[in-house]
Amino acid sequence: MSIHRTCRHPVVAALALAMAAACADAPTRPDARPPAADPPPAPLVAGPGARVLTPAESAIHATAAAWAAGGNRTLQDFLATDALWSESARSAFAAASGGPSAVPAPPIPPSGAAETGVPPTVPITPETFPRAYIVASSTQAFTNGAAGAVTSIVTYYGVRAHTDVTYSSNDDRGQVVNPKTIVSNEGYSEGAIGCLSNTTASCTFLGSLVTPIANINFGRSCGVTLSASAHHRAWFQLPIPLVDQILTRWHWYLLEWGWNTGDDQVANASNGPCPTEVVTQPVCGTQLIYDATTCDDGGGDNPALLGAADPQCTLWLIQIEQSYDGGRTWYVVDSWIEQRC
Amino acid sequence: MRMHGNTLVIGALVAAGALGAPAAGAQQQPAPPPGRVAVIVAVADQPLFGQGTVILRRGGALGPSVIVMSREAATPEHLAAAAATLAAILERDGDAGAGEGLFRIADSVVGPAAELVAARHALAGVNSASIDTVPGVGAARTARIYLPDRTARADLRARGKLTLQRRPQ
Repeated sequence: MSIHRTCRHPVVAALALAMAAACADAPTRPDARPPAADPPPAPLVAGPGARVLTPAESAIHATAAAWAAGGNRTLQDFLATDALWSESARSAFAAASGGPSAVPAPPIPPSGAAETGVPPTVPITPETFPRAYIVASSTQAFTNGAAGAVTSIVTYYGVRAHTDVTYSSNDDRGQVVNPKTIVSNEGYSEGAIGCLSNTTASCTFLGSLVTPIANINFGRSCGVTLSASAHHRAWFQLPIPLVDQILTRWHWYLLEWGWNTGDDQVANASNGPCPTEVVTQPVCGTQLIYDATTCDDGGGDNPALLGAADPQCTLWLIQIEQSYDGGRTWYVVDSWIEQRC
Repeated sequence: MRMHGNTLVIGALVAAGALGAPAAGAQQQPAPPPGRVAVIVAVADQPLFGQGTVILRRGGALGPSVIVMSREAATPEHLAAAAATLAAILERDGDAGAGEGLFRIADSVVGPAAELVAARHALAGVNSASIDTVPGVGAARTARIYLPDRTARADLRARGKLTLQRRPQ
Protein backbone atom coordinates (compact mmCIF):
# COMPACT_ATOMS: atom_id res chain seq x y z
CA MET A 1 0.00 0.00 0.00
CA SER A 2 1.54 3.22 -1.12
CA ILE A 3 1.26 6.11 1.22
CA HIS A 4 1.61 8.71 -1.49
CA ARG A 5 -1.13 7.53 -3.71
CA THR A 6 -1.80 9.85 -6.60
CA CYS A 7 -5.28 10.65 -7.73
CA ARG A 8 -5.31 9.40 -11.27
CA HIS A 9 -8.88 8.22 -10.92
CA PRO A 10 -11.28 10.65 -12.57
CA VAL A 11 -13.31 11.08 -9.45
CA VAL A 12 -10.29 12.36 -7.64
CA ALA A 13 -9.75 15.10 -10.14
CA ALA A 14 -13.39 15.96 -9.92
CA LEU A 15 -13.17 16.06 -6.19
CA ALA A 16 -10.26 18.39 -6.34
CA LEU A 17 -12.16 20.76 -8.53
CA ALA A 18 -15.25 20.56 -6.42
CA MET A 19 -13.15 21.07 -3.35
CA ALA A 20 -11.75 24.15 -4.96
CA ALA A 21 -15.18 25.60 -5.16
CA ALA A 22 -15.86 24.74 -1.58
CA CYS A 23 -12.64 25.61 0.08
CA ALA A 24 -10.74 28.16 -1.87
CA ASP A 25 -11.82 31.01 0.32
CA ALA A 26 -11.32 29.26 3.65
CA PRO A 27 -9.39 26.04 3.23
CA THR A 28 -8.44 25.68 6.87
CA ARG A 29 -11.81 26.36 8.40
CA PRO A 30 -12.38 23.77 11.16
CA ASP A 31 -16.02 23.41 10.30
CA ALA A 32 -16.22 21.67 6.99
CA ARG A 33 -19.47 23.21 5.91
CA PRO A 34 -19.15 26.63 4.35
CA PRO A 35 -21.71 29.14 5.53
CA ALA A 36 -24.98 29.08 3.68
CA ALA A 37 -24.43 32.56 2.37
CA ASP A 38 -21.06 31.77 0.78
CA PRO A 39 -21.55 31.74 -2.98
CA PRO A 40 -19.87 29.15 -5.15
CA PRO A 41 -18.08 30.26 -8.29
CA ALA A 42 -20.52 32.41 -10.19
CA PRO A 43 -22.02 30.69 -13.23
CA LEU A 44 -20.99 32.28 -16.47
CA VAL A 45 -24.16 33.19 -18.34
CA ALA A 46 -23.54 33.76 -22.02
CA GLY A 47 -27.16 34.44 -22.93
CA PRO A 48 -30.70 33.23 -22.41
CA GLY A 49 -30.73 29.48 -22.15
CA ALA A 50 -26.98 29.16 -22.55
CA ARG A 51 -24.37 28.91 -19.94
CA VAL A 52 -20.61 28.35 -19.90
CA LEU A 53 -19.53 25.68 -17.46
CA THR A 54 -16.80 26.39 -15.01
CA PRO A 55 -13.70 24.18 -15.27
CA ALA A 56 -14.78 22.37 -12.14
CA GLU A 57 -18.21 21.69 -13.55
CA SER A 58 -16.74 20.47 -16.80
CA ALA A 59 -14.48 18.08 -14.96
CA ILE A 60 -17.37 16.74 -12.93
CA HIS A 61 -19.41 16.12 -16.07
CA ALA A 62 -16.44 14.48 -17.76
CA THR A 63 -15.98 12.22 -14.79
CA ALA A 64 -19.65 11.33 -14.75
CA ALA A 65 -19.54 10.46 -18.44
CA ALA A 66 -16.47 8.33 -17.97
CA TRP A 67 -18.08 6.46 -15.13
CA ALA A 68 -21.29 5.95 -17.09
CA ALA A 69 -19.33 4.53 -20.00
CA GLY A 70 -17.97 2.01 -17.55
CA GLY A 71 -21.42 1.12 -16.28
CA ASN A 72 -21.47 3.24 -13.14
CA ARG A 73 -24.14 5.91 -13.48
CA THR A 74 -24.01 7.09 -9.91
CA LEU A 75 -22.56 10.48 -10.57
CA GLN A 76 -24.26 11.03 -13.89
CA ASP A 77 -27.68 10.31 -12.46
CA PHE A 78 -27.02 12.69 -9.67
CA LEU A 79 -25.94 15.47 -12.01
CA ALA A 80 -28.85 14.86 -14.34
CA THR A 81 -31.49 15.16 -11.69
CA ASP A 82 -30.00 17.69 -9.37
CA ALA A 83 -31.55 21.10 -9.54
CA LEU A 84 -28.31 22.88 -10.14
CA TRP A 85 -26.43 20.31 -12.18
CA SER A 86 -29.13 19.23 -14.61
CA GLU A 87 -29.20 20.96 -17.97
CA SER A 88 -32.93 21.54 -17.74
CA ALA A 89 -32.48 23.23 -14.43
CA ARG A 90 -29.69 25.30 -15.86
CA SER A 91 -31.88 26.49 -18.69
CA ALA A 92 -34.65 27.35 -16.33
CA PHE A 93 -32.22 29.05 -14.08
CA ALA A 94 -30.76 31.09 -16.88
CA ALA A 95 -34.14 32.00 -18.27
CA ALA A 96 -35.62 33.03 -15.01
CA SER A 97 -34.97 36.62 -14.22
CA GLY A 98 -36.13 36.43 -10.63
CA GLY A 99 -34.17 33.40 -9.50
CA PRO A 100 -34.04 29.63 -9.84
CA SER A 101 -37.16 27.74 -10.75
CA ALA A 102 -35.97 24.23 -10.12
CA VAL A 103 -36.52 22.45 -6.84
CA PRO A 104 -33.22 21.90 -5.11
CA ALA A 105 -32.32 18.45 -3.91
CA PRO A 106 -32.17 17.89 -0.21
CA PRO A 107 -28.87 17.17 1.40
CA ILE A 108 -27.62 13.65 1.12
CA PRO A 109 -27.04 12.15 4.54
CA PRO A 110 -23.64 10.82 5.47
CA SER A 111 -24.88 7.28 5.25
CA GLY A 112 -25.02 7.71 1.53
CA ALA A 113 -28.71 6.95 1.37
CA ALA A 114 -30.63 9.53 -0.56
CA GLU A 115 -33.68 11.18 0.84
CA THR A 116 -37.05 11.10 -0.82
CA GLY A 117 -36.69 10.35 -4.46
CA VAL A 118 -33.45 12.12 -5.12
CA PRO A 119 -30.14 10.84 -6.35
CA PRO A 120 -27.91 9.08 -6.07
CA THR A 121 -29.95 6.13 -7.24
CA VAL A 122 -27.00 3.83 -6.99
CA PRO A 123 -25.86 3.03 -3.46
CA ILE A 124 -22.60 4.62 -2.56
CA THR A 125 -20.23 1.81 -1.81
CA PRO A 126 -16.49 1.33 -1.86
CA GLU A 127 -16.97 -0.27 -5.24
CA THR A 128 -18.49 2.82 -6.77
CA PHE A 129 -16.46 5.43 -4.94
CA PRO A 130 -12.94 5.35 -3.55
CA ARG A 131 -12.73 4.43 0.07
CA ALA A 132 -10.77 6.41 2.63
CA TYR A 133 -8.48 4.64 5.03
CA ILE A 134 -6.14 5.29 7.91
CA VAL A 135 -2.53 5.12 6.75
CA ALA A 136 -0.92 5.46 10.17
CA SER A 137 -1.75 6.84 13.56
CA SER A 138 -0.15 7.36 16.92
CA THR A 139 -1.29 8.62 20.30
CA GLN A 140 1.23 9.33 23.03
CA ALA A 141 1.00 10.60 26.59
CA PHE A 142 3.61 12.75 28.30
CA THR A 143 4.18 13.94 31.86
CA ASN A 144 6.31 16.69 33.28
CA GLY A 145 6.00 17.07 37.01
CA ALA A 146 2.43 17.94 37.90
CA ALA A 147 1.40 18.50 34.27
CA GLY A 148 0.61 16.16 31.42
CA ALA A 149 0.02 16.30 27.70
CA VAL A 150 -1.28 14.09 24.93
CA THR A 151 -0.51 14.22 21.24
CA SER A 152 -2.44 12.23 18.67
CA ILE A 153 -1.49 12.11 15.00
CA VAL A 154 -3.34 10.36 12.19
CA THR A 155 -2.29 10.15 8.57
CA TYR A 156 -5.10 9.22 6.24
CA TYR A 157 -6.10 8.84 2.64
CA GLY A 158 -9.22 10.84 2.06
CA VAL A 159 -10.56 14.34 2.15
CA ARG A 160 -11.55 14.63 5.76
CA ALA A 161 -10.63 13.12 9.11
CA HIS A 162 -11.95 13.20 12.64
CA THR A 163 -10.12 12.24 15.83
CA ASP A 164 -11.55 11.55 19.28
CA VAL A 165 -8.83 11.45 21.93
CA THR A 166 -9.77 9.94 25.27
CA TYR A 167 -7.58 10.51 28.29
CA SER A 168 -7.71 10.11 32.06
CA SER A 169 -5.30 9.74 34.95
CA ASN A 170 -5.15 7.85 38.22
CA ASP A 171 -2.85 8.03 41.18
CA ASP A 172 -0.81 5.18 42.61
CA ARG A 173 -3.71 4.20 44.85
CA GLY A 174 -6.10 3.87 41.96
CA GLN A 175 -7.93 7.08 42.69
CA VAL A 176 -9.06 9.18 39.77
CA VAL A 177 -6.99 12.33 39.33
CA ASN A 178 -8.37 13.46 35.97
CA PRO A 179 -11.70 11.91 34.96
CA LYS A 180 -12.23 10.47 31.51
CA THR A 181 -12.26 13.27 28.98
CA ILE A 182 -12.80 13.17 25.22
CA VAL A 183 -11.29 15.82 22.98
CA SER A 184 -12.40 15.90 19.35
CA ASN A 185 -10.70 17.40 16.34
CA GLU A 186 -11.48 17.48 12.63
CA GLY A 187 -9.74 18.71 9.52
CA TYR A 188 -9.24 18.59 5.78
CA SER A 189 -6.47 16.68 4.13
CA GLU A 190 -3.69 18.97 3.12
CA GLY A 191 -3.30 16.87 0.02
CA ALA A 192 -6.81 17.69 -1.10
CA ILE A 193 -6.35 21.36 -0.38
CA GLY A 194 -3.10 21.27 -2.27
CA CYS A 195 -5.00 20.20 -5.36
CA LEU A 196 -7.11 23.31 -5.33
CA SER A 197 -4.61 25.67 -6.82
CA ASN A 198 -3.35 23.41 -9.55
CA THR A 199 -5.78 20.97 -11.00
CA THR A 200 -3.22 19.47 -13.33
CA ALA A 201 -0.92 18.40 -10.55
CA SER A 202 -1.19 14.98 -9.08
CA CYS A 203 -3.18 14.93 -5.87
CA THR A 204 -2.20 12.67 -3.03
CA PHE A 205 -5.28 13.14 -0.88
CA LEU A 206 -2.98 12.24 1.94
CA GLY A 207 -3.90 14.16 5.07
CA SER A 208 -2.45 14.49 8.52
CA LEU A 209 -4.49 15.56 11.50
CA VAL A 210 -2.69 16.46 14.72
CA THR A 211 -4.60 16.74 17.98
CA PRO A 212 -2.52 18.18 20.81
CA ILE A 213 -3.82 18.36 24.37
CA ALA A 214 -1.67 20.37 26.73
CA ASN A 215 -1.70 21.46 30.35
CA ILE A 216 -3.43 18.50 31.92
CA ASN A 217 -3.10 19.41 35.57
CA PHE A 218 -2.51 16.53 37.98
CA GLY A 219 -2.23 18.65 41.11
CA ARG A 220 0.65 16.49 42.23
CA SER A 221 4.09 15.77 40.86
CA CYS A 222 4.43 12.07 41.58
CA GLY A 223 2.49 8.83 41.47
CA VAL A 224 0.18 9.80 38.61
CA THR A 225 -0.31 7.72 35.47
CA LEU A 226 -1.80 9.43 32.45
CA SER A 227 -3.58 7.18 29.95
CA ALA A 228 -4.65 8.18 26.45
CA SER A 229 -6.15 6.49 23.42
CA ALA A 230 -7.76 7.68 20.22
CA HIS A 231 -10.32 6.74 17.60
CA HIS A 232 -9.85 8.11 14.10
CA ARG A 233 -12.19 8.35 11.12
CA ALA A 234 -11.41 9.34 7.57
CA TRP A 235 -13.72 9.80 4.60
CA PHE A 236 -14.27 11.48 1.29
CA GLN A 237 -16.45 14.48 0.83
CA LEU A 238 -17.84 16.25 -2.21
CA PRO A 239 -19.50 19.61 -1.69
CA ILE A 240 -22.51 20.01 -3.99
CA PRO A 241 -23.70 23.56 -4.60
CA LEU A 242 -27.47 23.94 -4.69
CA VAL A 243 -29.92 26.78 -4.75
CA ASP A 244 -32.56 27.39 -2.19
CA GLN A 245 -35.80 27.84 -4.12
CA ILE A 246 -37.40 30.25 -1.74
CA LEU A 247 -34.51 32.19 -0.41
CA THR A 248 -32.63 32.09 -3.71
CA ARG A 249 -29.42 31.58 -1.81
CA TRP A 250 -26.63 29.19 -2.45
CA HIS A 251 -26.29 26.18 -0.20
CA TRP A 252 -23.73 23.49 0.04
CA TYR A 253 -24.77 19.91 0.41
CA LEU A 254 -22.06 17.49 1.31
CA LEU A 255 -21.85 14.17 -0.45
CA GLU A 256 -19.83 11.98 1.87
CA TRP A 257 -18.73 8.39 1.53
CA GLY A 258 -15.95 5.91 2.07
CA TRP A 259 -15.66 6.04 5.85
CA ASN A 260 -12.91 4.08 7.48
CA THR A 261 -11.64 4.01 11.03
CA GLY A 262 -8.56 3.28 13.07
CA ASP A 263 -7.83 3.05 16.78
CA ASP A 264 -4.79 3.83 18.88
CA GLN A 265 -4.47 1.58 21.89
CA VAL A 266 -4.03 3.06 25.35
CA ALA A 267 -0.67 4.72 25.92
CA ASN A 268 0.48 5.43 29.46
CA ALA A 269 2.90 7.89 30.99
CA SER A 270 3.82 8.28 34.66
CA ASN A 271 5.35 11.18 36.49
CA GLY A 272 7.29 8.77 38.62
CA PRO A 273 6.78 6.93 41.87
CA CYS A 274 6.29 8.80 45.10
CA PRO A 275 8.61 8.31 48.05
CA THR A 276 7.58 6.12 50.93
CA GLU A 277 4.22 7.27 52.15
CA VAL A 278 3.77 8.20 55.76
CA VAL A 279 1.51 5.47 57.06
CA THR A 280 2.09 5.62 60.78
CA GLN A 281 3.95 7.90 63.05
CA PRO A 282 7.18 6.62 64.57
CA VAL A 283 6.90 4.72 67.81
CA CYS A 284 8.20 7.68 69.70
CA GLY A 285 5.51 9.84 68.26
CA THR A 286 8.07 12.34 67.17
CA GLN A 287 10.10 12.95 64.07
CA LEU A 288 12.99 14.37 66.08
CA ILE A 289 14.81 11.83 68.17
CA TYR A 290 16.98 13.76 70.55
CA ASP A 291 18.10 10.82 72.61
CA ALA A 292 18.54 7.70 70.59
CA THR A 293 19.24 5.66 73.72
CA THR A 294 15.88 6.31 75.26
CA CYS A 295 13.69 6.72 72.26
CA ASP A 296 13.51 4.48 69.24
CA ASP A 297 11.48 5.35 66.22
CA GLY A 298 11.70 1.81 64.93
CA GLY A 299 13.57 2.97 61.91
CA GLY A 300 16.90 1.51 62.94
CA ASP A 301 19.32 4.25 63.78
CA ASN A 302 22.84 3.81 62.60
CA PRO A 303 24.72 2.18 65.51
CA ALA A 304 28.08 3.16 64.15
CA LEU A 305 27.13 6.76 63.91
CA LEU A 306 25.49 6.83 67.30
CA GLY A 307 28.33 4.91 68.92
CA ALA A 308 30.88 7.28 67.55
CA ALA A 309 29.06 10.31 68.82
CA ASP A 310 30.50 12.35 71.61
CA PRO A 311 28.60 11.56 74.85
CA GLN A 312 28.30 15.29 75.34
CA CYS A 313 26.55 15.64 72.04
CA THR A 314 22.90 15.21 71.29
CA LEU A 315 21.64 13.48 68.19
CA TRP A 316 18.39 14.26 66.48
CA LEU A 317 16.73 12.43 63.67
CA ILE A 318 14.92 14.72 61.31
CA GLN A 319 12.46 13.12 58.95
CA ILE A 320 11.46 15.47 56.18
CA GLU A 321 7.84 14.95 55.25
CA GLN A 322 6.69 16.50 52.01
CA SER A 323 3.43 16.68 50.08
CA TYR A 324 3.12 16.99 46.31
CA ASP A 325 -0.64 17.26 46.19
CA GLY A 326 -1.49 20.19 48.38
CA GLY A 327 -1.43 18.30 51.64
CA ARG A 328 -3.64 15.35 50.76
CA THR A 329 -0.79 12.87 51.00
CA TRP A 330 2.47 13.11 52.88
CA TYR A 331 5.69 11.27 52.20
CA VAL A 332 8.94 10.83 54.08
CA VAL A 333 11.31 12.11 51.43
CA ASP A 334 14.52 12.27 53.41
CA SER A 335 16.08 11.65 56.80
CA TRP A 336 18.82 13.74 58.32
CA ILE A 337 20.77 13.55 61.53
CA GLU A 338 21.52 16.67 63.47
CA GLN A 339 24.25 16.57 66.05
CA ARG A 340 24.73 19.26 68.65
CA CYS A 341 27.68 19.41 70.96
CA MET B 1 29.04 34.97 63.03
CA ARG B 2 29.08 33.85 66.60
CA MET B 3 26.40 31.79 68.23
CA HIS B 4 26.53 31.03 71.88
CA GLY B 5 25.47 28.05 73.90
CA ASN B 6 23.28 25.40 72.35
CA THR B 7 20.91 27.77 70.64
CA LEU B 8 22.36 27.22 67.23
CA VAL B 9 19.52 27.09 64.77
CA ILE B 10 16.94 29.72 65.55
CA GLY B 11 18.92 31.30 68.34
CA ALA B 12 20.19 33.74 65.80
CA LEU B 13 16.87 35.50 65.75
CA VAL B 14 17.42 36.81 69.23
CA ALA B 15 20.76 38.26 68.33
CA ALA B 16 19.33 39.68 65.17
CA GLY B 17 16.44 41.33 66.97
CA ALA B 18 14.31 40.56 64.01
CA LEU B 19 10.99 40.15 65.77
CA GLY B 20 8.25 42.34 64.48
CA ALA B 21 9.89 42.74 61.08
CA PRO B 22 7.78 43.86 58.11
CA ALA B 23 5.15 41.45 56.92
CA ALA B 24 5.93 38.77 54.42
CA GLY B 25 3.90 40.46 51.75
CA ALA B 26 5.54 43.84 52.14
CA GLN B 27 7.39 45.22 49.14
CA GLN B 28 10.50 46.23 51.03
CA GLN B 29 12.11 43.24 52.64
CA PRO B 30 15.14 43.77 54.85
CA ALA B 31 18.21 41.95 53.69
CA PRO B 32 19.18 39.17 56.07
CA PRO B 33 22.30 39.70 58.14
CA PRO B 34 25.44 38.07 56.78
CA GLY B 35 25.50 34.35 57.39
CA ARG B 36 21.77 34.02 57.83
CA VAL B 37 18.72 32.95 55.90
CA ALA B 38 15.51 34.83 56.59
CA VAL B 39 12.40 32.85 57.45
CA ILE B 40 8.91 34.12 58.13
CA VAL B 41 6.96 32.67 61.03
CA ALA B 42 3.24 33.10 60.52
CA VAL B 43 0.50 32.20 62.97
CA ALA B 44 -2.91 31.89 61.34
CA ASP B 45 -6.31 31.29 62.85
CA GLN B 46 -6.87 28.09 60.90
CA PRO B 47 -4.59 25.17 60.01
CA LEU B 48 -3.07 25.38 56.54
CA PHE B 49 -3.42 22.24 54.38
CA GLY B 50 -5.02 20.60 57.38
CA GLN B 51 -1.76 20.65 59.33
CA GLY B 52 -0.90 22.44 62.52
CA THR B 53 2.57 23.35 61.31
CA VAL B 54 3.76 23.42 57.70
CA ILE B 55 6.77 24.84 55.93
CA LEU B 56 6.23 26.64 52.63
CA ARG B 57 9.62 26.35 51.01
CA ARG B 58 10.30 29.40 48.93
CA GLY B 59 13.23 31.47 47.83
CA GLY B 60 14.41 34.00 45.30
CA ALA B 61 11.65 36.20 43.94
CA LEU B 62 9.06 34.25 45.90
CA GLY B 63 10.43 35.62 49.13
CA PRO B 64 11.56 33.82 52.25
CA SER B 65 10.30 30.43 53.29
CA VAL B 66 7.36 30.54 55.66
CA ILE B 67 6.70 28.44 58.74
CA VAL B 68 2.93 28.51 59.08
CA MET B 69 1.39 27.49 62.38
CA SER B 70 -2.22 27.37 63.44
CA ARG B 71 -3.07 29.15 66.64
CA GLU B 72 -3.43 25.84 68.44
CA ALA B 73 -0.14 24.49 67.11
CA ALA B 74 1.88 27.63 67.75
CA THR B 75 4.06 26.31 70.53
CA PRO B 76 7.81 26.74 71.04
CA GLU B 77 8.22 22.98 70.66
CA HIS B 78 6.63 22.97 67.21
CA LEU B 79 8.48 26.06 66.07
CA ALA B 80 11.78 24.57 67.21
CA ALA B 81 10.99 21.38 65.32
CA ALA B 82 10.06 23.34 62.20
CA ALA B 83 13.26 25.36 62.38
CA ALA B 84 15.37 22.23 62.74
CA THR B 85 13.59 20.59 59.82
CA LEU B 86 13.98 23.66 57.65
CA ALA B 87 17.68 23.75 58.53
CA ALA B 88 18.00 20.21 57.21
CA ILE B 89 16.09 21.17 54.07
CA LEU B 90 18.46 24.09 53.53
CA GLU B 91 21.40 21.76 53.93
CA ARG B 92 19.87 19.35 51.43
CA ASP B 93 18.59 21.72 48.75
CA GLY B 94 20.76 24.77 49.30
CA ASP B 95 19.84 28.08 50.83
CA ALA B 96 18.40 29.42 47.57
CA GLY B 97 16.08 26.44 47.31
CA ALA B 98 15.30 24.03 44.52
CA GLY B 99 11.81 25.37 43.90
CA GLU B 100 8.68 25.53 45.95
CA GLY B 101 7.83 22.75 48.34
CA LEU B 102 5.32 21.91 51.03
CA PHE B 103 6.53 20.20 54.19
CA ARG B 104 4.83 19.42 57.44
CA ILE B 105 5.71 19.03 61.08
CA ALA B 106 3.53 16.40 62.69
CA ASP B 107 1.62 17.58 65.74
CA SER B 108 3.41 15.05 67.94
CA VAL B 109 6.85 16.35 67.08
CA VAL B 110 8.77 18.54 69.48
CA GLY B 111 11.96 20.37 68.66
CA PRO B 112 15.35 20.54 70.36
CA ALA B 113 15.14 21.73 73.95
CA ALA B 114 18.01 24.09 73.29
CA GLU B 115 15.82 26.05 70.89
CA LEU B 116 12.81 26.41 73.10
CA VAL B 117 13.80 29.70 74.70
CA ALA B 118 14.46 31.35 71.38
CA ALA B 119 11.32 29.83 69.93
CA ARG B 120 9.31 31.16 72.85
CA HIS B 121 10.67 34.64 72.22
CA ALA B 122 9.90 34.37 68.55
CA LEU B 123 6.30 33.40 69.19
CA ALA B 124 5.95 36.24 71.63
CA GLY B 125 6.99 38.55 68.85
CA VAL B 126 4.49 36.97 66.49
CA ASN B 127 1.64 37.32 68.94
CA SER B 128 2.34 41.00 69.42
CA ALA B 129 2.55 41.71 65.70
CA SER B 130 -0.26 43.15 63.64
CA ILE B 131 -2.20 40.99 61.22
CA ASP B 132 -0.78 40.96 57.70
CA THR B 133 -1.54 39.12 54.49
CA VAL B 134 0.99 36.42 53.69
CA PRO B 135 1.01 35.21 50.07
CA GLY B 136 -0.30 31.68 49.91
CA VAL B 137 -1.41 31.77 53.52
CA GLY B 138 -3.79 34.64 54.03
CA ALA B 139 -4.20 36.73 57.14
CA ALA B 140 -1.70 35.94 59.85
CA ARG B 141 0.52 37.50 62.45
CA THR B 142 4.14 37.27 61.39
CA ALA B 143 7.67 37.70 62.56
CA ARG B 144 11.01 37.17 60.92
CA ILE B 145 13.62 34.77 62.20
CA TYR B 146 16.95 33.72 60.81
CA LEU B 147 18.61 30.37 60.30
CA PRO B 148 22.33 29.85 59.70
CA ASP B 149 23.20 29.87 56.03
CA ARG B 150 25.64 27.54 54.31
CA THR B 151 28.65 29.53 55.45
CA ALA B 152 27.46 29.71 59.02
CA ARG B 153 26.65 26.01 59.07
CA ALA B 154 30.13 25.26 57.80
CA ASP B 155 31.54 27.43 60.56
CA LEU B 156 29.48 25.60 63.17
CA ARG B 157 30.59 22.31 61.70
CA ALA B 158 34.23 23.38 61.78
CA ARG B 159 33.92 24.29 65.42
CA GLY B 160 32.22 20.99 66.23
CA LYS B 161 29.04 22.67 67.35
CA LEU B 162 26.52 21.50 64.81
CA THR B 163 26.50 19.03 61.98
CA LEU B 164 23.74 18.06 59.61
CA GLN B 165 24.23 14.98 57.53
CA ARG B 166 21.95 12.70 55.58
CA ARG B 167 21.01 9.65 57.54
CA PRO B 168 22.66 6.50 56.22
CA GLN B 169 20.13 4.17 54.64
